[in-house]
Amino acid sequence: MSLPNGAYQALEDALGKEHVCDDPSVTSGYSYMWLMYATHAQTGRYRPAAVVLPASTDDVQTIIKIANRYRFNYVPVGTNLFPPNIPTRPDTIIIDPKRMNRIIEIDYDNMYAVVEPYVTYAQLQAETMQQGLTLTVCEGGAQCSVVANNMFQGMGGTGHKFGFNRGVLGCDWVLPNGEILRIGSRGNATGDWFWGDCSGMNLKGLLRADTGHCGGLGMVTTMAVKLFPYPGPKIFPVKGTNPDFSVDFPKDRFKVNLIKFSTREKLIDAMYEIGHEEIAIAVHEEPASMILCGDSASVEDFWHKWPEFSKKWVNVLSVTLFGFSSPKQVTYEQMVLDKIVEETGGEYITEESELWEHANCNLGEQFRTGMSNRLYRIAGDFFVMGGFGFDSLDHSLKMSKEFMWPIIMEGIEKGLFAPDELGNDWLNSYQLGHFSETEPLIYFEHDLEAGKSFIGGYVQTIQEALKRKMTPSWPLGPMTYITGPSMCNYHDLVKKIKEAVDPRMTSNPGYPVPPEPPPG
Amino acid sequence: MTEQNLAKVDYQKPLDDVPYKEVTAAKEQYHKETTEKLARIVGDKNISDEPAVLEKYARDKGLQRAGKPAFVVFPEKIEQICDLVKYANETKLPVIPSSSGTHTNGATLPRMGGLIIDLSGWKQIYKIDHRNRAVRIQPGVTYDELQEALEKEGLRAMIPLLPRKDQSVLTAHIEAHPMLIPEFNYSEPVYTAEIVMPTGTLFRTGAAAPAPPEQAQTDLVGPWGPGFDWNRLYTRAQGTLGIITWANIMAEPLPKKQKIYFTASRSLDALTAFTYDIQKKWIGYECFILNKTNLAAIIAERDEDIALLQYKLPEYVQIFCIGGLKRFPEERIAYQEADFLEASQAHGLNPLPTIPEAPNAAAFFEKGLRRCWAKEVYWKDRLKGASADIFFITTMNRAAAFIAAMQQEAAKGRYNLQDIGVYLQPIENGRAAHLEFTIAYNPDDKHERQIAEQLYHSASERMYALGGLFTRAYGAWGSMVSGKNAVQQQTARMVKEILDPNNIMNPGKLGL
Repeated sequence: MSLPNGAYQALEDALGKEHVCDDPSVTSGYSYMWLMYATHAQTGRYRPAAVVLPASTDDVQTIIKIANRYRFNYVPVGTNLFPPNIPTRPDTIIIDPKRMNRIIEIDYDNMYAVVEPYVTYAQLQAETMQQGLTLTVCEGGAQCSVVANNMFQGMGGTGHKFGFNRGVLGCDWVLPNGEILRIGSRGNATGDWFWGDCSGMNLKGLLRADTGHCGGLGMVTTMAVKLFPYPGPKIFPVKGTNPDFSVDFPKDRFKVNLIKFSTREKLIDAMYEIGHEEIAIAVHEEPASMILCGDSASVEDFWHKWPEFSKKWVNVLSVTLFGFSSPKQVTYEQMVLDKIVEETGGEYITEESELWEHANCNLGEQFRTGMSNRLYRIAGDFFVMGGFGFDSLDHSLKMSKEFMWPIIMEGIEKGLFAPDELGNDWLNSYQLGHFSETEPLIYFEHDLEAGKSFIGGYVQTIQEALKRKMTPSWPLGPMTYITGPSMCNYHDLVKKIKEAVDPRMTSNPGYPVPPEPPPG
Repeated sequence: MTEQNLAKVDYQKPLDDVPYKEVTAAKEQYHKETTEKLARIVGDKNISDEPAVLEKYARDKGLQRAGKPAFVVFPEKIEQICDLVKYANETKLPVIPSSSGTHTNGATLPRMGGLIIDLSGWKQIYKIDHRNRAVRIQPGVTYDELQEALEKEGLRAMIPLLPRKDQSVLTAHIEAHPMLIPEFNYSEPVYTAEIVMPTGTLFRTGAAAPAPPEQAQTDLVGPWGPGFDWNRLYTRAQGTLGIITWANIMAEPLPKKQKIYFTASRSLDALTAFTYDIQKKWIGYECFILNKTNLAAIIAERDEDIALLQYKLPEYVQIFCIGGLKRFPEERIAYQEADFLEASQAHGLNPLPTIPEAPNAAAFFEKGLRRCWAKEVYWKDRLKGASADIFFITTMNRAAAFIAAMQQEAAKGRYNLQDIGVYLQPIENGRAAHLEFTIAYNPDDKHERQIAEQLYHSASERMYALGGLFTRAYGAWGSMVSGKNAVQQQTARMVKEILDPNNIMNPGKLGL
């Protein structure tokens, strides 16, 4: 857990003493990660050797060049939410961009913002709304880094209209050799930010994919991201306090619909029709557990309400309409939605009903999410059992029913996961229903057996998908060795590119693929 | 002092040279063996080294340098393509894939000879998937063929402005030709694809990766991964990274009804401000701006009418189409029309259902928005017999500055400003724009061609210097962009070497 001789001094000299730290009381904070306690936490083995705080692209280049000179590893992070941020080797530092938190530019006409890696969704959206623009906020929470989320997937509650994995424009990307690769229009003669595709070979293709490289190919230090029109109030119109809050958007421009269906198949049919009619901005199947999490003040409150609520909240679709053009758009889209609901046998949950009350914060969750944080309430930890296998809406449903829920039920029967027998996911429509992914939520305690069961189950969903020739869940890092051989051996190509870009394999060494398959 | 190594050259002794007739024989033998080997892979009838055939592939309709192939093959199966590529690796034979009938940008012109793999005969439409709004096609399928098949199913493909009749739909998608509809959610229209990699192995992108289509339990619409964004890496790659044998692309709902508006203005800035506004309202489908030169070339009924029409037409016209879908089509058109017209008033503009100076415009675009150019002479060539395009990505609010610079370059080069066509295509709801200049010239007039050629090169450099983003870096543009971005070039070379270790796929393109 220490750096080679001279390295620490070099980092201090380059960045200033106050921006480099190896005090275990600080570095320990970077060795814990939700979900990873089953394999990593509390062992102390994965504490970084130091944490450094760059303030600019120049600083990041310097850090990476020092790492190359003194031969140590580094993990670039954003706001530090995700498991790949944990060091997997000794002599590893964390590059924490806390000081790189500037919004450099917002271009209204051309709908983009230029941000540094520590700018959060909440921070950016607050500024863009002032200008009549917004962006799709990641479901990990508005506290997440815009750059990190866009590097990883760029997912969000309004992805039905604002897309998935479509947010990245021009970028400055410090490669593991310390050089800056300028992506998209950043690489043109005038160094603009407005577009993400490169002149010549489109190296944007290496920036990310289904999961991104997780810092395994260097660090993006500045990124332009896509913004979208927003005809709403300049300040996010929230009323009340968590969990009893609601978002009070003007009713003529924003309309949430909650619709119950007798089967998930009918719910999916309705999602397809909504996509074909090109209406709505957010379309999700909403599982009961997630809705009630948002509406519960405590774990006791949740479990008190659950028996009754779970009987009533089954196969519910949430559809949010948004009047980009004028209130007339909302009126028209509601008329189309009514017709679809009638044809597919849905039934609206009325605004006067008790069920609606429970979902009152739903709209806010879609526009500026904080829902993920509330999902810890039930048991202390949560994640999705597989999911993220991107393809059609039908594919999402098939995965969910055929193998994800049977795996979850095993865990529930063993008492490892919180009971939920409804079988509803957070199943999402992206880009007007062109694609989809589904997230069957599970909740469990900070318990090694439950954690192992979750990780084992997650891997099992990958294996089951491959067995059925379906698209597997995110295969992060070492899991790439499970998926690669069944998917045109893509892991070989990824590994070759990793070796070429990062020959010492020191930029978050285990990602996007580790040098060797993990034992066993 | 170390001993000096003197060059041991006996200048008196003749070189051990091979007799010339043996050299000739060896060349003939190589050609014969290569022909036989290729014929064994694709069959005798599917290979040609006839000078007349090779000449067809040695030039295109643009201003790029000519370059002759040694062979042209017409494989019938994917396995044959794999074998051809493997053989090319053994012999370092360059491979250039070609799918469209007419080429204009030099992408298929061999730089080092080699083998053209012509897939224009691959015309299968495998599956129209209405539920998932997708259609899986082979590279030789053209727009008219595809639109006809899709329209029967109530769908349509994304289409560029009046493509040539023999334009490959797959190439237009993979090479990211600008599509007429700037809807954000249509703007990356490739879901998945199958690629013969430069080593001869098969690779599939996105949700197609786990299994070939006939076995897959996916709907082949998940476009990401596996591992990297292969779809994006392969977009605009001009065949330098492999050969795409099929792609599953978006097929969008065909409007039940539609209404087209033409908005004229002397000022491009006025039209772009209006276009920004309506694109932020997220209304309408097709939306683009043409200058009078391009518009006259498109809507003049006879070639001899073009000049007069060009004189009569307004400087710029925005063409905007609103469509109604399956449920309540009239109501959809009504609300979008009302919002569109209200916005136009705020901008002091007056959209009309036709162009008063060219009343046939409405009828032409009613169908023409979804079809190929039907007449014999392509619309860009009507004015002078030939044309060359300069195009790049920029933002709409910079278009006027680029046009002014283009006019300066034309004036410097003594090119008639009135002959320059301008096409401005918003992308992704106006976030960016494709700006295209068409330089018309008489191909039979050497002097005129020379002027056009000089303008093409000088204006390309000027547009690049002003910040034009040449994402489709064809011909000389490849060197122009790569020569000025060392890290990009170095990284691109590294990727190319990993994927194509013997540099057989369309060598010399993309500035590599």
